[in-house]
Amino acid sequence: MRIIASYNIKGGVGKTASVVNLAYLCAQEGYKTLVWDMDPQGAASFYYRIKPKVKGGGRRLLIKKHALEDAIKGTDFDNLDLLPADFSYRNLDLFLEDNKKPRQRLRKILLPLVTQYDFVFLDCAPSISLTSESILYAADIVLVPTIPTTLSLRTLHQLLKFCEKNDITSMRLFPFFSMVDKRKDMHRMIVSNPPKTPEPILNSWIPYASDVEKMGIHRAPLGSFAPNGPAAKAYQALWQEIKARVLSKVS
Amino acid sequence: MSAVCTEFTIPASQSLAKVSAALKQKFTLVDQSSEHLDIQCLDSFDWRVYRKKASIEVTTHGKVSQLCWRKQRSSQCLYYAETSGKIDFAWDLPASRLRDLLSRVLSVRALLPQLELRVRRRYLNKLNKDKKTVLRIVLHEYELLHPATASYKKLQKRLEIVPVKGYVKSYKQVLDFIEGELCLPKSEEDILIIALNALGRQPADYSSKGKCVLQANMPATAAIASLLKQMLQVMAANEQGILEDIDSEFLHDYRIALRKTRSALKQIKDVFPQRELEDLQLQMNWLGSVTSPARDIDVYLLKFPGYRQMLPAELQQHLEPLQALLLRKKRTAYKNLATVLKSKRYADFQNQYWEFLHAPVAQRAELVNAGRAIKSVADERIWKVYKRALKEGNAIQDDSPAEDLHELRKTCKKLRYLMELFQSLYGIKAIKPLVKELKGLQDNLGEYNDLHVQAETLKEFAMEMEKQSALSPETQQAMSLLIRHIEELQAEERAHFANRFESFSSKEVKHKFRRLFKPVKVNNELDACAS
Repeated sequence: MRIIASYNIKGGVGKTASVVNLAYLCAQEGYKTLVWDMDPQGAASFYYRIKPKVKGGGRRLLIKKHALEDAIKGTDFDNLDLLPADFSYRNLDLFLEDNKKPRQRLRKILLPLVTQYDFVFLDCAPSISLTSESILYAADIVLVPTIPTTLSLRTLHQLLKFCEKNDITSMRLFPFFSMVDKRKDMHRMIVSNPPKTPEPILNSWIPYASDVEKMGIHRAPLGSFAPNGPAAKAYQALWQEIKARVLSKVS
Repeated sequence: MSAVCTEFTIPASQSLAKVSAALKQKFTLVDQSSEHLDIQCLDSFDWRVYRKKASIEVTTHGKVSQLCWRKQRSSQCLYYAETSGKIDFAWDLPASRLRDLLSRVLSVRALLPQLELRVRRRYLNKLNKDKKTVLRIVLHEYELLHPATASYKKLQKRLEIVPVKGYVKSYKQVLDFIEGELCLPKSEEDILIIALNALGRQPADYSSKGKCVLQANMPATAAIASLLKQMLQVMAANEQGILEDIDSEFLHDYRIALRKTRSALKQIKDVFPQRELEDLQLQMNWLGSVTSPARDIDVYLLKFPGYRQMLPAELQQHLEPLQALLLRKKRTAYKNLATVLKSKRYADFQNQYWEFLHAPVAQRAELVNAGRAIKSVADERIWKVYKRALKEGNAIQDDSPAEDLHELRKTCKKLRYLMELFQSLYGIKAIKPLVKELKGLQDNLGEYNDLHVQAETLKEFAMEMEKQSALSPETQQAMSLLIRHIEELQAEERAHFANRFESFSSKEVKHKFRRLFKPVKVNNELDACAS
């Protein structure tokens, strides 16, 4: 089982869209896939038409045996399940603090799913907190969707620094450009001359596309309603690159 | 991901349209799609997929075949692969989870067509207020191809409910309605079994080990005759597969049944008159030797991918002339074998052996072991061979010659055949751990011996290729390296012997062997016979 987190300190960079579409592509290839919508806003749950509600809330998931498994819902797609969001996730930091080893807790509760899933995707809430730290520890790889702007690159730099300081190996962090608007000079310039990072920024990038916004109308991943659009194709290329370049690096 | 599906059988008198209308009247259902498929069900000769409670189904669309692994009692495809090539073996499939799974399940066995079904399927989804699917309903209408008439006949109509994880309430509602209102009975068998039964067949009707159950007090002659009859059946069942060269296991199973037969006849003395056995044993020795060349080549071909891996990447391609030589040899060996199996000598042997096995027991009653209870005869023999194995093993030192290990290997083989032939007398649960322990030792001895033979034979092949001018300097280098690697492996295997034998001869294992096989005192036994 591989745990892939989509994370960025900044909000609105395409974390949820990435998880929803990459997990869909992964499941379509026959891998047993789970998405955990960890963002209390519940956007991934909304896209999959699943109520953002978990019995007993986030606290129960962290302490009760089998609570995680019991809360999982099947999506409309083969091989793809969802652990829905819950509004109580806004207090996940507090719940984690109640545990002995808070940073290791998420990985520990996810490991029993190893026999059921090949891939677990974590859709994380923005911010930098104990929950974020716990996610960085739990994930085998962390995808960092980054908009090609100065401010977003600054945030990426902050994240890399944070990982270095907290002994989280930045070799597991894989940034990629998201919401790229080729009409903008700055976007074009940054994509063609990406900054140096411990792991080079992935080659595939996701365009700023209306199809992605339409996911909210269709409440479904791109592959199910616009499989031949530029955004769906970009996610397909990104997924192939993740498999070829990234997954081979983690044991 | 779906939880366990539930299937119901729709009586012939009820139409699918009527069932569908009743469901739609009660629940919010959306018609999804419908499909019409011709399905070929595949499995190995020994039903390895069926034994995993699954089925492999193939549908063909133009030149592309789609393979689906489904669990029995569900039509849901769990693993899937697509190919435009042949699908004889797991390795013919493109890289996929299905190929990985089939490789584990089938190993070297080929997939064979078992039957053909035609199915019309309609899919209905139950949606909630967010238009999210919370349950799937599938209506199936099956027809079966009857090979004798080459025509499809109606088989069964089924309704399947496929729950969606986390939506138990919907599942229960629909389940209650189908059972309570529609009064449909749950399907008791998988459609594959229903179809096979309609053709007068049973799944898993072949086992290389046989299913003969012996009673402890059966007279030895009758008991051994029934075991041997079963071995004869196994041999007969594999003949066609050998003639068609479907996969290497046909010949392997055939030879194991033959060797078990030879071993039983040779080791259990005074059950059959020696004069009746002499000619049969000669014929069986002949069969053993004429089947050997084909099996040897099969083994080399099975090992060939491993040979390639032993070499550095740049030399691997230069081993291809060896593969070509092996394939040529295989064709010749199987051709010769087919001639043997179709010969008059073989037919005569079969008749003679059949008559021998079916001769009246009374004629043999005067022999010492003939009337004894089979359990005590088996105990005595297994215990004796086990003690011999221990004695031979204990005598082996680090500097003992290869011949000593070879002798022990032969003794262990005899012990294994005896334990497997008579396993029903001791119960699978009790005998299995001991067979496993013995197998561990056999694997080590077998590998050591095989590596020795392989190194020698590869040297012969290299000389043969040189004579045929098929040995380029690169191929010569590849084969020399391969032979050296095999010799190193042999030395490693030799070093593991002490540990393996220590485990086999441990106090705990000895205790288990003693408890299971040590014969009761002879006097008591004679008393028992007399009474």
